[in-house]
Amino acid sequence: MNPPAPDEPSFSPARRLRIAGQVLLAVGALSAIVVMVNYLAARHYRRLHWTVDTRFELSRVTREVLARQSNEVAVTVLFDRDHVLFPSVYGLLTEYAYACPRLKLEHVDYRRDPGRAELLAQRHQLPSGEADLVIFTSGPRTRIVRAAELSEYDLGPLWSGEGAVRRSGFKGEALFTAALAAVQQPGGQSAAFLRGHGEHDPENDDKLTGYSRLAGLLRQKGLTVQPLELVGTNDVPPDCALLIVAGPRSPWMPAELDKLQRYLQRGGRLLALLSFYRAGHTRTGLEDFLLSWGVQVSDTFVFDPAHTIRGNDLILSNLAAHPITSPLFDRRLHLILARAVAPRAGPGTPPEVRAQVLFSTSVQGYTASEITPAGLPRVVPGRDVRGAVPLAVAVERGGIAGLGADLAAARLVVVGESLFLGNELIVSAANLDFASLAVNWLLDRPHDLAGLAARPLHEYRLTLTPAQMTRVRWLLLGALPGMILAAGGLVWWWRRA
Amino acid sequence: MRPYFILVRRELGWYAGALSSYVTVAAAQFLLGLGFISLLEAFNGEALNAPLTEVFYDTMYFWLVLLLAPPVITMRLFAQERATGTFETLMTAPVGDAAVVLAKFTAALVFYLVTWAPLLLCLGVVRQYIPEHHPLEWRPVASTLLGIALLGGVYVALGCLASALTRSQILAAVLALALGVTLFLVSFLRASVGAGTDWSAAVVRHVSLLSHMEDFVRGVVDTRPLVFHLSLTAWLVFLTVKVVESRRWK
Amino acid sequence: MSADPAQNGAPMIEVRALTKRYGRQVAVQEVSFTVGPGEVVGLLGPNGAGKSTILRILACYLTASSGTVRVAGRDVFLEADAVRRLIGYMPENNPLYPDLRVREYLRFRARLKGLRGAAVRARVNAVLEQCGLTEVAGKIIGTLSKGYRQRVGLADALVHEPRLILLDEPTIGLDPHQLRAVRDMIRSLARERTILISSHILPEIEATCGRVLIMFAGRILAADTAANLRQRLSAGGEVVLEVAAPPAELQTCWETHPDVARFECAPADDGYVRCVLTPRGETDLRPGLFALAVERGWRLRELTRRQQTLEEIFLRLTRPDAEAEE
Repeated sequence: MNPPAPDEPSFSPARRLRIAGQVLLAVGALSAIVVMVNYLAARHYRRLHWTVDTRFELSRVTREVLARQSNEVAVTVLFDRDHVLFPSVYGLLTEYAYACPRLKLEHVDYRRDPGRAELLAQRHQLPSGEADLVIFTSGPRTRIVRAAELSEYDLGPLWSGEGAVRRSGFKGEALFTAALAAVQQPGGQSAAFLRGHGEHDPENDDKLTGYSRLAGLLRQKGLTVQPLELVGTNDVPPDCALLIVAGPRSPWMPAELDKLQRYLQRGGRLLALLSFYRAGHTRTGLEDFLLSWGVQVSDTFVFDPAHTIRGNDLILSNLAAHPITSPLFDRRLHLILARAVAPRAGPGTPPEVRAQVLFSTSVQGYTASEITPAGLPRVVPGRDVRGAVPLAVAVERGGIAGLGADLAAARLVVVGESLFLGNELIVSAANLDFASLAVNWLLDRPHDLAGLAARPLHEYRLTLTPAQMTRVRWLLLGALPGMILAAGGLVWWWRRA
Repeated sequence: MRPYFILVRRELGWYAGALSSYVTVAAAQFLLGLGFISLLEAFNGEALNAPLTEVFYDTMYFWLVLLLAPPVITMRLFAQERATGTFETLMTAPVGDAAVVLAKFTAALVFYLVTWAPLLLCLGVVRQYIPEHHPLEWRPVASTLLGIALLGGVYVALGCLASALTRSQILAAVLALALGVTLFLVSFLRASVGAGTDWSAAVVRHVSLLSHMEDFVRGVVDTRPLVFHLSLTAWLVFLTVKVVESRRWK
Repeated sequence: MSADPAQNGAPMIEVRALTKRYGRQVAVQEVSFTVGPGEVVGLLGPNGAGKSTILRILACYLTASSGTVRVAGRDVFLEADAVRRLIGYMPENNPLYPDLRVREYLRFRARLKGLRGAAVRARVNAVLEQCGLTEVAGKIIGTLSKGYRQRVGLADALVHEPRLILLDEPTIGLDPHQLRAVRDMIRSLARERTILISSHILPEIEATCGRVLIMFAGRILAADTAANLRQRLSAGGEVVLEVAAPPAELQTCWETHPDVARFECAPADDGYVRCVLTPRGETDLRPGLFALAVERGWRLRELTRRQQTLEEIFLRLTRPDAEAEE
């Protein structure tokens, strides 16, 4: 206790002024401290993840890719807010944006902001109706990741007949990081369209046979699209990440087949679309070649009278549990005049080759060895079969199945039809997503998708019967507030009494 | 320190005994219930790959409770005591101004958290009916509650300040609500500044309550909102102390 | 209460040159007074005279514009906390928390004022007894009558055994019965404590206070014991005389008397005449009148000087033109 000088008055204008000054000073000082602390906090921060599955925690690979970003990257999430994957996609990309200041994240809800969405669709030449995708843009380069590519599915419950299919994994980080790496690095990998046998042309805009849309898809995935002829001394270039044989019409030279074989032997990736119809009901030589890779391509046409629109086309929903097709489990593919393609080990097939059916017709399907000029099937007994006819096969050689592909592992996707990826049909049903997933699978290399495994995804399902719903509504809106009010009334009455 | 605890007890006693606080909690329960019902109806039979709380924060009901509850809770703190004159009895007892302000702030914050208890009730009810693969995970729920408490701290402190400035409870509530909604609306500038790099965009991003809450409901605890809310709360409480003290030198 | 060197010989309240302004309006102007230990002092004045302001400054609730205020030798500004511990203050209108029970309220206040444990219970029971609140101890304050609430406020002011009790208008709005009870209580306290009461009602102050400070428009106009004040101000008061004498003789006698300024005569019963004489100047007329009656052979049956009540003094002092008239 310090007694004041006896002469100093308790109160005086000077003392008040002094205190006012001190208060102002204190408020000013604290405000400055608050601003400073926030400034420092904004620069040095940590993000703790309180989730079981650390859904939004970035892996080391992603952090490295983000750290290498030297240019601005605009990431546009063109997604419906109510899309099931939206929280995961946007949440994960938010973490990207936090980790990398050069990454500018934006959400465009095409339902609520159709104008902006239309503008984006035009700028990136998206087919009309295309939605729910993420666009990565850096300078002139653009990569697009579609919603269908993002999920892995557990089809187990569907086969065992107990309940619905459930998403089991979210591949967002792998795809986003790959896309980021791709927009950052100029050049990179290329995809080659084989020419010389009347194949579909990636530069052609023709509705039925043009392949410009598939080429656009490949470019969105970061691939340079180039034509390739294997005549003369030409060989498959070393940077060729994917070779596409789209509907050859004339026979292959043995030299060409040798070059193809060598390419595959050193871990090449092949998308072979072999149309019997386009080839004029003749064989091109590839059929026998593929037999040595465990794929039997038949000289037949496949019909499924119960699942067709015009008679010669197929609406396919019998999709196998394969990384390419399981994300499409509840969707359809649309093929025309397809031939049967089945896994079958030939005489020269090495044992480490694994071939797997991708999709088949329904059990009402059948093959026809010939068709009349009018397009009607003519079944040859003994040669033709009935039942679920397989139409596409995925082949993998090397590595261990399911554990991803190593560098030297070859992969093939063989489909007995080529028009379904033409400009018109590719936007029909889920064909585009099939193409996209097939290319992803074919390109899947450890360094490519940043080696990021899909995140386990916990999918929840709310199922309340109407009676339960009524009960919940009554409970939440009636009983609970009522009980609280009653408690209040009781306390009030007790306090008054 | 002792007067602080005595006053906290007294303030909590007031909340426990007043009919108006039960009405407040019941109203919060009703609003949150409405929010949950609308969610359940929207997502019934559908798949969700995010915990329910993460979807819930996006509904208007969540923000309605978050913005409306603090002014209702805090408007009486000082204004009522000034209007009835008990402030004089209180402030002539041997207690410091800081103890009074802190005690009132603490009690209001505690009651604010009680107002959010219905959220747990709603989650409990939902869990009851969806026993398998229940869309709840306790860690994001905990971080959501942390976010609610942090935002609540700011809003309760704002309400304290507004209440200390006036002797009319209505005026205090209106003032607190106006300031609070303004702070909330700054979040929406986020869309217009977008990904800008200048300092104003950085400030908007830093104070954007929506972004903060987005993180918390996802189970991400960022140190930036943590520091922002705690420092803002401390600053507002300090201002309130100074306003209450100003009676002694003005 | 422990002995404190700071209070040695210091008056209980010391106010020097206290001024309080609200903006341009002056509430208290250059007020100085002291109150010794054990005194009961009344602060009397009409509403708005500045009584409540002085009490609030003493209770460390408000700050003055200038001047010095010490309580038991301690500065109310610099040692506000210590001063608050010494004071039991009941503000104007006696604000209470209506939602609490009487006992709860007193326990809360006792704790807040620093009492602990068993002392809380003991003191609360004591003041409940002292203020006659024992039978309403379990009632909600909001449901109590005005008189009981007033007693609760008083009990609150007393609960921590303060050395100085400040009561702002403690009897306002009470009925005569309650008034007497409160008055008795203050009187009983007066023996051991220093008390400062403000009021605008005179009999209350007169009944309880040893000394009165009369305030008007922010100033203290007079300060003395109630008796002295009356004495001082009653000098030169009217004299009432009842004599048996011929009215005409009386008339001429008063007209010619040098010390009588005015007179009034009226016949009373049994042949007596009742005269009310107003003296000229400050002289006491009574000795002269007695001698006159003896000399003239009048029968004298009453000779009294009218005592002014404090009410009249108060009115005289606080009339705005009082000073001009004097």
